[in-house]
Amino acid sequence: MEEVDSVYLYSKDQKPLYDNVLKELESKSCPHTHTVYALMDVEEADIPKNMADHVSRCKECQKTVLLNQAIMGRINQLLPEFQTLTPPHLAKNCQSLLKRSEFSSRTKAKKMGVGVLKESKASLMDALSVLLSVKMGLTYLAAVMITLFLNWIL
Amino acid sequence: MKLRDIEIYLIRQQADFFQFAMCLTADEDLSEKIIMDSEFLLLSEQREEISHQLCSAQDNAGAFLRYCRRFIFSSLFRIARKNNLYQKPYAQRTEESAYWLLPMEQRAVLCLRHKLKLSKDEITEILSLTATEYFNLLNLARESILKTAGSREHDLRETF
Repeated sequence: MEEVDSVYLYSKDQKPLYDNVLKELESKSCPHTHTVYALMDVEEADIPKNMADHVSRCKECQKTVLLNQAIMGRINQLLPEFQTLTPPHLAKNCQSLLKRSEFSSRTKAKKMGVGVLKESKASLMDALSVLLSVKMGLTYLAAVMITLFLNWIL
Repeated sequence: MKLRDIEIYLIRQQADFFQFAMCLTADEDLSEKIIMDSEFLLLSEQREEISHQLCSAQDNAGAFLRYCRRFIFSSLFRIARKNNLYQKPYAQRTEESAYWLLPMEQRAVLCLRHKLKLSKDEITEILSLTATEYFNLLNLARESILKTAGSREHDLRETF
């Protein structure tokens, strides 16, 4: 059986070999690339610290990030841009809608005022209908007659 | 909280509402109309919550205002989708044509994510999606828009 010589990779004599091995490892696709790609849409605060550290070191993952940024940039270019940012009367419409709503103080005051007027009108109508009825007229007449009768006796 | 606070907040958000509505309908008049309808819906559907917030002096005013914002975005989407409010824009950049070919859900998710930069949680709440549905829709929209516009990953790889 053929024996394979093994060497200590970290010795100074093996520096070229170490560099070659390192280069070979770097050229291979990183197992974390898919994870990095998946994390591109996650909020920055939710990204695990170890993955952030890994991206700062791994060239393969940095490429993924750059590719993703290029894709996002391209998508942003493809989104429509509108010349009118906001029509000026949109704010006015919103203001008038809120002013007319039941929550505004003006509407509340108006409601209260109308309520008081309605209530007083109903009370007045009630009073008038009682005071000016036939029954009430007969009562007045009877009271006058009784007064005159008492005056005549005394 | 006062009604004035809600008014100021909504007026400040008008630009975002308008951008989103335009991304859905592609028409200024329609956009204005559905923004007004959504604000009206907020006042009518959420009247109890609003009156509660106006009466109480609690510290969660910010959360309530953000809720109002999400509600209006959600209403804009619901109204536009239900009535299929989309008018093909008269003039458009050549690059934009790929965007207008997408279905309304995909346009909405792209606009909210890329244009208005909302978070995943906000978008899923606005569009009533689960996290999986959101990622599926977003990736599908991105893929479709790039495919229609003729941008391949290989071409983009050459840009850096």
